[in-house]
Amino acid sequence: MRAPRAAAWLIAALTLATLSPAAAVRPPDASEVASDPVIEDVRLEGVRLGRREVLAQRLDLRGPLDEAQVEDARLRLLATGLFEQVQARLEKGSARGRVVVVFDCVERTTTSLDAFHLGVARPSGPWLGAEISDLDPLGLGVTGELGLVSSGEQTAVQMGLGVRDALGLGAALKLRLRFIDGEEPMVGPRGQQIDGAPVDQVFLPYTRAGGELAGTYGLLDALSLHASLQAEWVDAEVPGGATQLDPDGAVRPFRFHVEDGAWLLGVVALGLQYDTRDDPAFPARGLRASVVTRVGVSPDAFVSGLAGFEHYVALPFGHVLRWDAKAGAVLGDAPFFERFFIGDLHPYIPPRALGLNFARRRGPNLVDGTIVEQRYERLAGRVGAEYRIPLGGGPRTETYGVEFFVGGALLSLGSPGALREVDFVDRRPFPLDVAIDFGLRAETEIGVMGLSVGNLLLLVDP
Amino acid sequence: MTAALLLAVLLGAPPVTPWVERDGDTLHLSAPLDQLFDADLRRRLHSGLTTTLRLQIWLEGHEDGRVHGVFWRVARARWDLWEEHLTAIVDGPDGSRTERHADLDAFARAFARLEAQPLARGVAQDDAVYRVRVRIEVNPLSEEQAARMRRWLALPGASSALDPLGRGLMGSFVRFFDNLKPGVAERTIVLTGHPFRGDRLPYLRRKGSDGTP
Repeated sequence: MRAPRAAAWLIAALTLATLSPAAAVRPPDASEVASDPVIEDVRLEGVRLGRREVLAQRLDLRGPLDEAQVEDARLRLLATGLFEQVQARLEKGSARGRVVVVFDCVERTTTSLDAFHLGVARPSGPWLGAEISDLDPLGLGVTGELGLVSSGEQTAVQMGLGVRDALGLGAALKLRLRFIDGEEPMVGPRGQQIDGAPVDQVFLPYTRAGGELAGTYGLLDALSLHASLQAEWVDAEVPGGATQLDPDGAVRPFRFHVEDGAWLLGVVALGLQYDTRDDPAFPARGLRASVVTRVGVSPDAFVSGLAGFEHYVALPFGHVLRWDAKAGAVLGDAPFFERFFIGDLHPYIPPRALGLNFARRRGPNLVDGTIVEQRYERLAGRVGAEYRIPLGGGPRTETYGVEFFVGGALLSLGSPGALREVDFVDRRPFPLDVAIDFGLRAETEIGVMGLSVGNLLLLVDP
Repeated sequence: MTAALLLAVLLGAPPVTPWVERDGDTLHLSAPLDQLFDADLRRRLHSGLTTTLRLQIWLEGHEDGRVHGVFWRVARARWDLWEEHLTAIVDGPDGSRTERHADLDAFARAFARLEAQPLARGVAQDDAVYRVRVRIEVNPLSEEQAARMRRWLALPGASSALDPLGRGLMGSFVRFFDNLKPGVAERTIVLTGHPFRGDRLPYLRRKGSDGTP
């Protein structure tokens, strides 16, 4: 009985210590200080010369010393992501009562490999690519990013520059340029033909070139506003003589969902994100909700909406339960690349990389629904859950974490017109599928990575 | 050979060794933890800004890790640049008090040098094995602060685009970056004492008025 009592004592004592005002950083009582010293200057040590002036100006520390403001400035320096450590200290100024606030900073490596694209699927064979970004490659306060993916037949390149505090308003702005030389492997609901002869796929060659200006503004601590303006030149060579075999058995002209020839695409997007997760890699509690609307002309007008919600619940023994729901709809005649793609929804099918799809793979259709016929559609939905079991370390510990996860989801993808056709010949009511995935996730000094059954299916082509 | 063994023992021993004595069923701890105040910690305490130190000591079973006793103390200390003294508000199980010290050594001794501090009561005098663990957190972070720092450090180049149906749908991802881990404090100093048996502890030596045992 002694040990549980002692454990309870420990918990109570540590809770008291945590809840006690002593646990918070605050200056001693005013009575202990004759008068607050005045800030004479602010100095940054350990910072590259080009960054130093800009950062010092942004801190805006002046007047009587307020420790809360100094701490806030220290946190703002850390929030830039440029430093692994920032410590504040005072030095005597030119006269008694004057101080210099010095921030001792340790810069960090700010280059990151944000995505790694690797897969094998028919008809493209292997493809390879990566997306790299840097917070400040030149020390001028300008972010940079570069992405490239290619299978030989298809290639996409993306590059971008951005500023993290445009016009001193705290808004991040990014300009991206994109070039896509694609050859989309199109497949019909139940088959496809060219000039009456069955083929494995119908290739749709197309080129996209353009740019996007995207901005993010933090409205509140956890709420951010996202907006973007996208303009592209598109040139598609729609093949003649292509037909598709529809669910009712009829052969009809292939619906590519893209205008033949050259045309312009314009899209305005607006979104909100609310994120209270306690950790971006291994969240144990909190939620993330986002909604985004896109309005475009291509040259026909279209509107799309997409909403997502994730909720993380901490369970005993460090286990975590996540449940999520996502749904989206496209209204109007949007080009195929603005529609929902089965690979973006299903873990067993390769997702698009920098806007390119390399696979003609269909949904595995584990519940014998009709999702096997879906590719680029106008309605998408998903309800899922994931259970995570920590195998060591993780957030709120000094060591990096490893965890096992198992997740399942119910997916749906379809287009209203297609559903009516399916109802005519097929009594299965809705294009549904189930996906199950499990594997390991780990965080290390060099990043975060996961390996799951879904990952393996990207490297083999069943 | 003996010299080599002695050297190995010395190198393997922690720089500060907690000393545990028994007085009936109560265990008392003596430890010069002020020796853990290294140059980096001294620099922080000399910063002229408030530094929070949280000292936690607990006695646990060597095999099962069960806690049998705990001691804690929290200090908020600030060095006065002009008057050149340190003011500290110290909270502990025995209450809160404000102290003034002429130098850092005096503060370190008052805060972290423990002399026959009762650590655990009701500890049986048997062959059970225990050990003492010490943890000093410098400017401990609240959960919210740690989560904010983690976001800043983990998402340096995160895309500004919203993509609820994008990558990572089932949690499969790869990202390589300088993945710093902020931990639970700006800095944490940890010390683990040698295991000892409950029935082989020396009895507490009462000091005389002149400080000698």
